Amino acid sequence: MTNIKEDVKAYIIEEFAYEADVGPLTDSTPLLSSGIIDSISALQLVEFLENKYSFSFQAHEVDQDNLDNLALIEAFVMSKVSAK
Amino acid sequence: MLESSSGIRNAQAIWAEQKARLPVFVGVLLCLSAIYFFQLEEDLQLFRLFLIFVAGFFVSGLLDGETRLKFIWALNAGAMFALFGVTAGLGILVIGLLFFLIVNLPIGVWWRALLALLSGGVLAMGKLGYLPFAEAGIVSTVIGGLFMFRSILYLYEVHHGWQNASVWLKLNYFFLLPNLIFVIFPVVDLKTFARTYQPEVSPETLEKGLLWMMRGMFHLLLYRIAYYYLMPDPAATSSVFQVIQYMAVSYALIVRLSGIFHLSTGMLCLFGFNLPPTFDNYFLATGFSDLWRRINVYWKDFMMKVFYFPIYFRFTKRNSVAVFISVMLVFLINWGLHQYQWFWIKGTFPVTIIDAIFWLGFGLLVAANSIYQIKTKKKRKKVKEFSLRAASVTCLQVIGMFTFMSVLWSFWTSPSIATWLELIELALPISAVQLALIAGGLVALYCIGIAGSYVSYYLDKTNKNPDQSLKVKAYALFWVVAVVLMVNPVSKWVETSLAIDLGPVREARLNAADAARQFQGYYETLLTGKDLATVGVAKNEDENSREWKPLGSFGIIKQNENEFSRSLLPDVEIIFKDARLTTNSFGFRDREYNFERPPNTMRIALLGGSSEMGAGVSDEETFENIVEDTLNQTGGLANSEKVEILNFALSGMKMPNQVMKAAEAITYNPQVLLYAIHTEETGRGLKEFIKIFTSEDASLFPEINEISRLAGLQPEMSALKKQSLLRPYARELVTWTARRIVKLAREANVKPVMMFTPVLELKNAKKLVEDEEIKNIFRKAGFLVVDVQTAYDGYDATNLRVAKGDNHPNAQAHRLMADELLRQFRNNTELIRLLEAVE
Repeated sequence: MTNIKEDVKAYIIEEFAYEADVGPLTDSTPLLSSGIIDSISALQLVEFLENKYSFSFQAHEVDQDNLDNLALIEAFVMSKVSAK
Repeated sequence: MLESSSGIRNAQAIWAEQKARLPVFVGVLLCLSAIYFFQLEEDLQLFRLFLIFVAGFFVSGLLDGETRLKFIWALNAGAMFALFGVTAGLGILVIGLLFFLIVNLPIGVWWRALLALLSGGVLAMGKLGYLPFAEAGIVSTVIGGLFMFRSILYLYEVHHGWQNASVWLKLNYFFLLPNLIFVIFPVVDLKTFARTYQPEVSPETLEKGLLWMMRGMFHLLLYRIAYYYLMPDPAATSSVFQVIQYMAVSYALIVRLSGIFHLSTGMLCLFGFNLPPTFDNYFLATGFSDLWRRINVYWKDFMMKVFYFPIYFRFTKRNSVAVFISVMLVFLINWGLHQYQWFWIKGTFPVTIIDAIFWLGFGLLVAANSIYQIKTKKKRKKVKEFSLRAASVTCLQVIGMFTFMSVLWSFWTSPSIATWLELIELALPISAVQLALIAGGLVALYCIGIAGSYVSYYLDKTNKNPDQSLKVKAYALFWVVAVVLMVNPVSKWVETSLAIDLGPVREARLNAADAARQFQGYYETLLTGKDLATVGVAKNEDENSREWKPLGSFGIIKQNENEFSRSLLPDVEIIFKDARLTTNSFGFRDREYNFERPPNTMRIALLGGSSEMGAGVSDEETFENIVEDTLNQTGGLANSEKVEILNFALSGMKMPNQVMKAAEAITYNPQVLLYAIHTEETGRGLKEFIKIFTSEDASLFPEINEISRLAGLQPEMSALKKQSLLRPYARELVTWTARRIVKLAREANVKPVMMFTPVLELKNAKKLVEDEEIKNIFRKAGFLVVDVQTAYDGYDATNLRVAKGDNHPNAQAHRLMADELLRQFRNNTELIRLLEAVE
């Protein structure tokens, strides 16, 4: 659980062809609002997070509030896992 | 502290920020000039709205974030009155606030939704004209535009716990200034709207807003040019290339939507709402899912959030089946929501098979594409080095997608499946040469694509991609040049020295196809219910802000002894195109006359179409009445003391109808038959000529049947195909018409005169040649040709039409026509000789 951000970062670089020359993928790099991930591709990320951390998303949780950057993703995953 | 307690910043802060805003403000003024000079979206009052916006933008820079929100909302409320008047403005404001209160009531979300639905139902009654308020239509349209989708999103978010905004931000979310005139508006996401609001508007956001506004206006101009110059008339289409052009331009016309969305979101950015892009290079989509991602991004996000995710997450097994069902349901909803939107705009809820095929077909393709991507676990790849193979694949995908969407779009925008199939039929058969040329064209496109890919790669690699500032400067330069070109002395000089008409660029005009339809009596065909299949007419009607009722809908046109002989009913009075139209006891739009010609009277029978009938002008304003009055007040004509001009003109009359009408007119014992002909009369008449081929009254026209057989017409062919085959025989058809009328006239000792009348549309060199040819044919057949085409010379055509989008001559144009005809009566020696020779 300590490597959530690193795991997600690796996944995004691999799946969404994020490149360092765009700028470093930091904790606060916007993902959904910048278009790196769009609402369709977000489902891939959802599936990855659900499988990796064994929790379920609600439909309305597929949202910028929870997925727009690595820090938000980590906080969301933590909250979901701890609520289990 | 930058802000004072009143919300107005201190002078130093204002000066610092205004200095930074100055270039943007200059850019906004440039946009205002461009909207003015190009009359962009004039029918929707864009210029007036933009004036309000400019003032608002200036003032908003003086205010702090929260005060600005209050100000923008107040500006919006004021704009309602400025745009729609006191009554409608008040209605929109009050009902809008009522809806806002409903979605914010301290009750459960479902109860709010129910109340909103019921209130929407009452509003819909207004849209349908069931409420006793004259302004109910416009009020319901605007309220529909403001609330139809954002209220759904709002309630969805509130249902899931969102409440993180001030009441002023919430008010601004619903009352978006450009949405007042653009009913089709991007579905702005609530959370994004609230999250991206900048109390201190950053220079980047201001620059982005300006860029989007300029780009949006550029798209609107592109739309105008593509619609006017590039959209071929399906009725005049005769080759596969024109069919391809028609399909590609049909799809390309979506650029108008992109223009409206860019302009609208750009304006919102300047108020501090740092919204994301609405479109993303949709013509470069490489697949169906990619297109769904790129085209109307806000709509896609709205559909995903409110419908797709909730449906998809209901599946316990999120596999291909779940994706397929979810996508198909979303596209079904998509279809319904488009009809719902249509209702708030037009007041109808059309359910058509074409829409069903389009939406469900599109859904099927997106679903298949999505499943394919899941199955193949296809990842996005970004290539470090340029690869011809990768560029080729992308290029072919883009060409394929654009081609497919063009075909699909042309289908969706066709009035019926039959019409679309007729269009396809025109392209067939495709010869080997045509096929080779098409292949050559595709190869050329491919090469352009590869070159484009390399340029893009090179710019990426060398970090030379134009940044936002450079793009703004490029658009600004374009608009400065464009505006200067439109300023009166410059535009006059350009038009004179280059012999071009900038009119269709300067203002929205009907293209040749739609303009022709206006005179074709399309509406009048409602009389018989036949031949309604005309591509694009529905779109044209939609854009006609005046919404005049067609003559045929008044029920005052009757069919006579055969299908090609029509008349107006006697003794009727209607208001047609806002003008009084009455008929006499014989059933023509004219004064009362005796059937027998009075002694010492010159009787002239006028044959013509809607312009001569006087569509859009009152009874006494028609040129023939003015000429008749003037001649009678000045001693008559030739050897006669009195003159009678009997007006047999009727909307929608084509050459075969005029032959019938000539026979009818001659029974009134005129000495002169005056046949008014317009440019492109032949093309307009083709639809009527092809009817003869399959008509029960075909025996009346043996020569036309012979020409049709020579042209290769077959009864089972579509109307468009028949027109295409008959078009090369236009000369023969005109000759037949002229000779037939001359024969009728000579048998009755009537002098045939052909009057070549002016039109308000632009004429190209080809048309001018055709005009000369028609005149020669009539001359050879025995007509005296009187050319009155110079009647409108020196006048701005836009001041001579009955309305924007309706090129029938107005009262002033009729007066000019009358003046010119009177000049001809007085100075044309051939005409004087002819008149003096009448018995």
